[in-house]
Amino acid sequence: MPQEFSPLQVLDWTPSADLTPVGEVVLVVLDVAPGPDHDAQVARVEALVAGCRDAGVPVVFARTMTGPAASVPAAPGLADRPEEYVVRRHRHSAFYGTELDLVVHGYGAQTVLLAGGTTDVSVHYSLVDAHQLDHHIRCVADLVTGTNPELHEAALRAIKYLQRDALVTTAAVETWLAGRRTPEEQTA
Amino acid sequence: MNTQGRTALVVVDFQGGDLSSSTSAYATDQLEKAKAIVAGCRAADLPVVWIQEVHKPHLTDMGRELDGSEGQHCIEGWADTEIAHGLDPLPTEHHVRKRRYSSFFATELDIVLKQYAVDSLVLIGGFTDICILYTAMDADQRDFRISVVSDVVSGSSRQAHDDALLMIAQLQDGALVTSEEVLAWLAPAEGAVSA
Repeated sequence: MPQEFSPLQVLDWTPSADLTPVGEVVLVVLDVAPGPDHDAQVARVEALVAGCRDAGVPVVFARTMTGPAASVPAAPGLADRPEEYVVRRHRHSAFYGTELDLVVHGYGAQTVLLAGGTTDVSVHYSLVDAHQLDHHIRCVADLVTGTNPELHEAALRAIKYLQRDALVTTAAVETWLAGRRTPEEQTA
Repeated sequence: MNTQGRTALVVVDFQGGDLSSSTSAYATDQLEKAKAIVAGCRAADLPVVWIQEVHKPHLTDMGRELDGSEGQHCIEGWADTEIAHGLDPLPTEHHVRKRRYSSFFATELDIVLKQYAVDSLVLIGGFTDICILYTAMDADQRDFRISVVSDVVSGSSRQAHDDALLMIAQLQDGALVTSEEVLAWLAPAEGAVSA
């Protein structure tokens, strides 16, 4: 049976206040899952999307499919712009049966930053695919919602097991965005 | 059992070579249970597919697997990379080598299972929270029914094992089964079938 005290066990899954991305970053936005704090959570994801757009970080939306119908954006700021990609997710992982990996490569990114979604389903299973596809993964731990608190914590532990730097706070992303040069400065 | 149509047994990373060493991830009784399930599937003419994680010593194929909790593992040539002694794949059985956690990821497993025309998978092996969970997740995404034998899987830690069993139960109702249930399903007791 599994060891009671394993050196592999994740003992601390506190999200980091430092994003430490590798290479370029793409923000992947999943549908904000139902939860007690849903409207406020939507507003926080909206703010993150706005911050990434302002800093020139590409944003990709993964819409959940129910048969032929895609989920609708939960707020105006979560609607895709003409130049942005939308992938249509029929399964747990946003990479499965979609063009998401191609898009991440197209942007020349090595780090997949993820917000929104169900921690123990779409978030965990999208991130394990990103991990297996050799991307660096970062999950905004306060912008994902678990099926319940127990599964939320379990999934955060599993994500931390995959990559030790994977869990970050919204503040970590904001700090990193503030320190980035604007698109204008980058081309200057 | 959470099955429909035809079923295959997928033995995921039941590795470690000689399991009699005290550092083995698998308890002695788990090896015996695994042997019994393999034998039962063969007797019932169900396909048995073997999965083995293996990496080259130069680590070209390691991906991001050293960025988390695990150190180097399943290196070609290491004694404990071998499938557990006593579990002996037959030459007629598919033996799939993989570089990542999910048995479906960059492997021929999907092709093999299509050839067998199976709809349902029984999973044993380890780690519960890594290769079993992510294989179960990918099987679910591919519309297979999954039965994970909860007493014949081993986790990276007790907590991660327990976490993963919760997650597997979330994937499909009835996805967790016991070896006792599997063996009874493979070989129903005399009288039970004719009743």
